[in-house]
Amino acid sequence: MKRLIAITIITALLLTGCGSVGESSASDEKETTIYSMDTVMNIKAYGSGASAALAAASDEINRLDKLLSRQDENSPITALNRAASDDSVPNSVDVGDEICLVLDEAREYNSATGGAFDVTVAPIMDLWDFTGDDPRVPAQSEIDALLPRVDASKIECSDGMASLGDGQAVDLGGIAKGYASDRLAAIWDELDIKSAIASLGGNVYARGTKTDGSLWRVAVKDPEDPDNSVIGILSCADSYVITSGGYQRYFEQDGVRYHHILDPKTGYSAESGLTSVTIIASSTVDGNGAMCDALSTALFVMGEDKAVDFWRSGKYDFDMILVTDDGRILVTDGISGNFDTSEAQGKYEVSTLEK
Amino acid sequence: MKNKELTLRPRGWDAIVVAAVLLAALLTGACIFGKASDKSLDCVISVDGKEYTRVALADVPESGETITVGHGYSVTIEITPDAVWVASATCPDQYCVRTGKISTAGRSIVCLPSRVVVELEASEGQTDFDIVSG
Repeated sequence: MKRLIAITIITALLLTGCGSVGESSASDEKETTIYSMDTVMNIKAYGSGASAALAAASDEINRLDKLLSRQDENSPITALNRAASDDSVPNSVDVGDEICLVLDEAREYNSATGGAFDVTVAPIMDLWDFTGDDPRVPAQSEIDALLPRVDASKIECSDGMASLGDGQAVDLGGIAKGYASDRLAAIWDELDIKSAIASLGGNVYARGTKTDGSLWRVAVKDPEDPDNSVIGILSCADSYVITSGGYQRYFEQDGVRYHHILDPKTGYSAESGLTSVTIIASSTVDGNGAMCDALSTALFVMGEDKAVDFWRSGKYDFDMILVTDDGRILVTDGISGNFDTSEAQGKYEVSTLEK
Repeated sequence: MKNKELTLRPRGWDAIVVAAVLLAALLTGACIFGKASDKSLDCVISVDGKEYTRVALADVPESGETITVGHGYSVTIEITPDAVWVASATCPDQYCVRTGKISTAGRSIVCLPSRVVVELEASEGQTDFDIVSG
C-alpha cells in the first residue's frame, strides 16, 4: 500500500511539474508599440481595463514627447533653449509647471551626483551628433569652448517660468523616459490597472505582478553582446528597472568606439570602467522613475567606486547592477536573491555588494 | 525477531512499480523534449507597430530568405534557419544594419526611421523572461 501511495505521489508530482511548463493565463493581454521620444516603446497590459490602459499610456507618452523634446520646433523646451542663445529676447520663458517639475528633478540629481548627471550637456551632444546622420569626434578646442556652458545649477525655475544661463541648452533625454514611467504609474493608478509591463526604449516598468500572481522576469542585456545575451534575470514586482550602457548608441571612428553617455566634466564619452549600470527601485514611490533614469546615467559616469559609495550613502533608496569592463557583475544585496545570473556564469564573476 | 521470507518472483505490485517507472520516464522525456521544441523560433517583422509577417526559422531553407519592408525607408532582412539580420537599409543612421545577427528568443533589431522591428519569438510557449532592460 505504501508503494502505491509513493507511486501516486511521484506520478502526480511529475504531472504537475510538466503541466506548468509554458502555462500562460494571459488571455486578456493587450499590447501596443509606440514610436516616440526618439525610441521604440512596447507596452503590455492585462485585465478588463487593458485597452484603456494602453490608450491612456499612448496619449500620455505622445503628449510628453511634444512637451519635452528639443527636436520638436514647437516644444517649450525648444523655446527655452532658443531664448538662452538669443540676446534679443529675455532668457525667461513660460514653460509651465510640469516642465519646471522635470527641470527641478534634473537639478536635484545634478547636485546629488556631483555633476555626473547634467541636462545642460546638450551643446556638447550637438557637437558629437550621436543621433544625426554623420556623427563625428569634435576637436578639443570645440569642446573646450562649450564646456563652461555645462552647469545645471544655472537653471532657474519658479511658477512655471524657466531660464537658462547664456548659451546654455538642455536635453532631457536622460530623464524624460523615466519621468514618463512615473506618469504611467500615476495614470494606471487612476484606472486601477493591476498588471502591466512596459519597455520605454529599454527602460522597464513592471507594474504589479503577472496575472497569475508570479513575479515579472526582467532580463538585463549583456553589454558585451547586447543583441543576443543577457547577464541575468531579475524577478520583481512594482519596479522600475532602468539600464544605461555605452552599447546603446555609439559610432566608431579610426577604430575607436565613442558612445553617447558623455561625461559632463570632459565632454567626452564617459570611460569609467563600467559598461552597464542598471538601477532598480519601487514604482509605488512617485518620482522613482525619473530617479532611476538619472542615476543610471550618473553612476555610469561616476564609475564603480563612486557609484558604490553613492549607493552606500543611503541618500536614495534603490538597488543596482553594475557591469565592469574587466568582467565583473556587482549586485546590491537588496536584489541579489532575486537576480538569477546563471546565464552569465563562466563569462562574468558575480559578487554581492553589502551596505 | 520474525524472519521474513524473501522471494525473487515478480508479483502484482512489482508490475505496478515497473509501469510507474516507465510512465515517469515517459513524462520526464515529454517535459524535456516538449521544452526543447519550445525553442524553435519565429521571426516576427513589424512595420509601424503592426505585425507584417511571421516566418518560422525551421521552415526557412539553408540558402535563406530575404524580405524587404519599410515605412519611408526600405529595410532588407535576411532570414536563415539559425539567425536573422538586416542586410541593408536606406535609412540614414544604419543602426539596424550595425546591430548584426540575432539568434535567440526575445532579441530584436529596431530601425527607428523606417519604423521596422524584427524580433525573434519562441514559436510555442514563452522565453524565460518577460521583457529586457537595456
